[in-house]
Amino acid sequence: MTMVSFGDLAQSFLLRAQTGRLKTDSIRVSQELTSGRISDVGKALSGDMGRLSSLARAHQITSGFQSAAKDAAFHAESLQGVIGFVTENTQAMIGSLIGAPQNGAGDTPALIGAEARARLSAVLDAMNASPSGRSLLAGNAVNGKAVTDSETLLTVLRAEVAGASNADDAMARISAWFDAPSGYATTAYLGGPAAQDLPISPRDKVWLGVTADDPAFRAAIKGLATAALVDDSALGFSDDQRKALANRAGETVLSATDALVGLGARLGISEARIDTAQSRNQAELLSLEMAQSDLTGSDPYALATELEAVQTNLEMLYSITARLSRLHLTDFIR
Amino acid sequence: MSISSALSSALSGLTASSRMAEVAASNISNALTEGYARRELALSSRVIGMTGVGVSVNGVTRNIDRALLQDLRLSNAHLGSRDAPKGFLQQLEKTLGTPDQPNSLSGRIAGLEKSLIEAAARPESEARLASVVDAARWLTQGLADTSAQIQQARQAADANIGTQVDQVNSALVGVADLNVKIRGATATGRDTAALLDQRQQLIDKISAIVPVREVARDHGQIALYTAAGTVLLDGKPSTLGFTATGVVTPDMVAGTPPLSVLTVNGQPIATGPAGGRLGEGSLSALFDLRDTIAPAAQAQIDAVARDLIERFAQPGLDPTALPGAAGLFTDSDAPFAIGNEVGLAGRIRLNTAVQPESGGALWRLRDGLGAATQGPPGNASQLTAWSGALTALRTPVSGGFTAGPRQFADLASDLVSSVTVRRLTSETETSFATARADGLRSEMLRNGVDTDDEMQRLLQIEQAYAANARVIQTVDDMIQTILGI
Repeated sequence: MTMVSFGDLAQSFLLRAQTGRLKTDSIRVSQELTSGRISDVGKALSGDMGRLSSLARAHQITSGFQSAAKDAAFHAESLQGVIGFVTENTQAMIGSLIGAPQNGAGDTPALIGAEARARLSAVLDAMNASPSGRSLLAGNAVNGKAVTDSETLLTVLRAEVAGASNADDAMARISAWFDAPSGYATTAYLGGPAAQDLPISPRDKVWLGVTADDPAFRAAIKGLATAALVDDSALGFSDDQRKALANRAGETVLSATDALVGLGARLGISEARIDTAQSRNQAELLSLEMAQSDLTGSDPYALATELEAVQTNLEMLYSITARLSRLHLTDFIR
Repeated sequence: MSISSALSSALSGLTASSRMAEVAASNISNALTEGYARRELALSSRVIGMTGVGVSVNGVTRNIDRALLQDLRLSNAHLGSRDAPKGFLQQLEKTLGTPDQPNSLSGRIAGLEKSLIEAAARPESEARLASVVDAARWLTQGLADTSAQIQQARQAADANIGTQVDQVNSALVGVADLNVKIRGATATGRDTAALLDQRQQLIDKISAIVPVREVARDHGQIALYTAAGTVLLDGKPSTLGFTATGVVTPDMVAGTPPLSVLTVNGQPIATGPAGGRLGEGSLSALFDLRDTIAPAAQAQIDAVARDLIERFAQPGLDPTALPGAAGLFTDSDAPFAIGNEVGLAGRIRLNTAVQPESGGALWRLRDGLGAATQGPPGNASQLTAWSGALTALRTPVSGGFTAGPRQFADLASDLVSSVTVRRLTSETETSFATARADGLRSEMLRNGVDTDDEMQRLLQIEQAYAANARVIQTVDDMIQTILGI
C-alpha cells in the first residue's frame, strides 16, 4: 500500500498556482511601471493615511490661497493704477492753483474752474472703475459705485458755500462738509465699510482696504472740487477772493498729493507681501507634490529589476511545464 | 484433482486481472476528477479446504487519508470565513478612496475647503459661491455613497446567507440519503466506493460553508457535527432555518425582526463571536459581516457625518441663523437630533437655503442662512467663518474614534486609516489561510490518481492476464493429451 506515487492533479495544481502567482506579480509590476504610482498605497503606508491626507489637503488649500493671491495681486495693481491717475491729476493742478494770486489776467479763475471741473470728473470716473466687475474703492459694496458724479458733488457744495463772506469762510465750510460724518462720507461716498484683510496664504493676511472714503482721496476731491468752484456764480466773490480760494484749493491739493503718495506706498507694502506669498505658495506646492510622490510614486528602477525577475521565473515555469507534460509513460508504451 | 485446481487457479487469476484492469481504467478516467479517491483492488490467496487455490478478490478499497481530509475541510472553512470581511473592507476602502485622489472622501473635504478659500477672496462672484455649493454637495454625496455601499454589502450578505443555508440543507438531506444507500450496499456486500465518493463531495460542499467533523457510525454511515459541536446529521439531518430580508437599512439590528437569525431545528443558534456554536466558516463570516463589521463601519461614517453637521451648526457661527434651525448641513433638510444618528451619513444634505435649484440663493452662503436680504457683496466674513468651522479643533462624540480634538479632515483621514489597517490585517490573515489550505490541498491531490503509476500496473496486469491464459492453454493441452490416450 505504501506506493510512491504522485497524483497528476497535484502536479498541475502546483504549476497552475505558480503561474497564477507570477502572472499577478507581472501585471502589478507593469501597472505600477506604466502609471508611476504604487498600486496599493494603503499597504505601502502600512495603513496610516494621515500623512498622505494632510499633504494632499495642504496642496489643495495652498492652490486655493494661490488663486486668492492672484486675485489680490490684480486688485492691488488696479488700486495703484487709480491712485496714480488721481495723483497725476492733482499734481497737474498744483502750479496754476498755488500761483493764482500772482497771475494778473482777469480770466484766470475761469480757466482754473474749467480745468478743475474736467479733472474732477475724470478722477471721480476713475475712482468708480470696476475691473472684472468689482468696484475698486467701494469697500465691501463691490457691486456699486464708490463715489457720486461731479455734478451732484458740486451741486451739494454750491449750497454749502452759498453766502460765504470770503475765501477763508468758503474753504472752512467746504472742509467742514468733507470732514463731517453726515457730509462727504454719507452723501458723496456710496460704498460700504472697507473690506477685511484678505488671506493669501495659510499664514498671511494682506491689507487691501482702500476706499474712496480714505483721507487721501477725500483731500484730493476736496481740492479739485474747491478749484472747480472758484469761478462759480454761486459765490459772489471778487476776483481777488476767487484767486485766494484757488490758492487755498492749491494747498489742499498739495497735501492730498503727499497723502496719495503715502497711500500708494502703504499699498506697495501689501503688493510686496502678495508677491512674496505667491512665490512661497508656488514653492510650497512644488515641495508638497514631491513629498506626495515620495509616498505614492513607484520606483521605476526597483520595478524594472522585479519585472526582469518575474519574466525569468515565468519563462522557466513555462519550459518546465512543457517538459513535464511531455513526460508520460503512456507516450513510451507502444 | 490437481489439474482442475490448476484450471480454477488460472481462472481466478484471469478474473482478478480483468477486475484490476477495470479498476485501473476507472482510476485513469477519473485522473482529473477532484475528490475522487484512488481505488485499489484488495487481493488475497484463496483457500479451499486446507489448500490454497488461486486468488480471491476481497473488494475495492478507496485510498483516502481521513485525517488529511478533515484538516483540509477545516482549513477550507477557515479560508471561507476570511473571504466576506476581506471583500467588504476592500470595497469600503475603495469607496472611501486614497486621500490624494480628488474623488476620495478626504479629497472631497479638501475640495470644499479650497472652494471656500477661493470664494472668500471674491465673495461677490456667483461662480465661486456656486463652486462651494457643488463641493459641499459632492462631499455629502460621498458620505451617502459610502453609506449606501455598506448597506448593499449587508443586504448581499443577508441574501448570501439564505443561499448558503439552502445549500447546506439540501446537502445534509443528500448525505442522509447516501448514508441509507451505503448501509444497504454494505449489508448486501456491493461496491460502495462510488457512493462514498459522492458523499465525500457533498460533505466537502458543506464544510466550505460550515466547518464539520465527520464521526463514523455503524455500517459505513457517518454523523456530522459542526466544529463547535452542534449536531448537523446523526441518523436524521438537522434543518437550518433562515429568512432573507429584502432590503437592509442602517436601522435594522441583528436579532430584531426583520433581520433573521439562524436556527437549527427551530432553535436559535449563536453565530458569533468566532463562529459561536456554528464554528468559523463562510456562513458565520456572513453573519459577522451583516451584524458586526458593516454596522461598525456604518457607525463610523455616521459619526463623521454628525461631526460635519455639528461643526456647521455651532451657535454663533452664523449670526443670522434662527435658534434651533438647521446649519449648513442638515439631516434630510431638518436639524440633526441627538439619538437620530444611525444612518445619518445616508441622509446628510446641504441646506436648501443655499441651493438655487431648491428655491434657495447662493448669496446666503455669504450673508448667512437666515438672511432676509442680500448684504454687501464684498463681505467675506461668513465665508471665512464656514472655512473656520472645518478647521476648528473638535472632539468627535461618537463612532469610537480615539478621543482628542482634531480638524474635520483629520477625522476623515482617521476613518480611512482605520479601514485600511483592518483591510491589511484581513488580507494577511487570508494569505495565511490560503497558504495552509493550498498546502493541504496539494497533499490531498498527491494521493490522487497518478496515470504513470496506473500504466505500470496496467503492464503488470497485461502480463498476468497473458500468463494466466497460458496456464489455461497448458492445462488444456495436458487434458487433451490424457483424453488422446
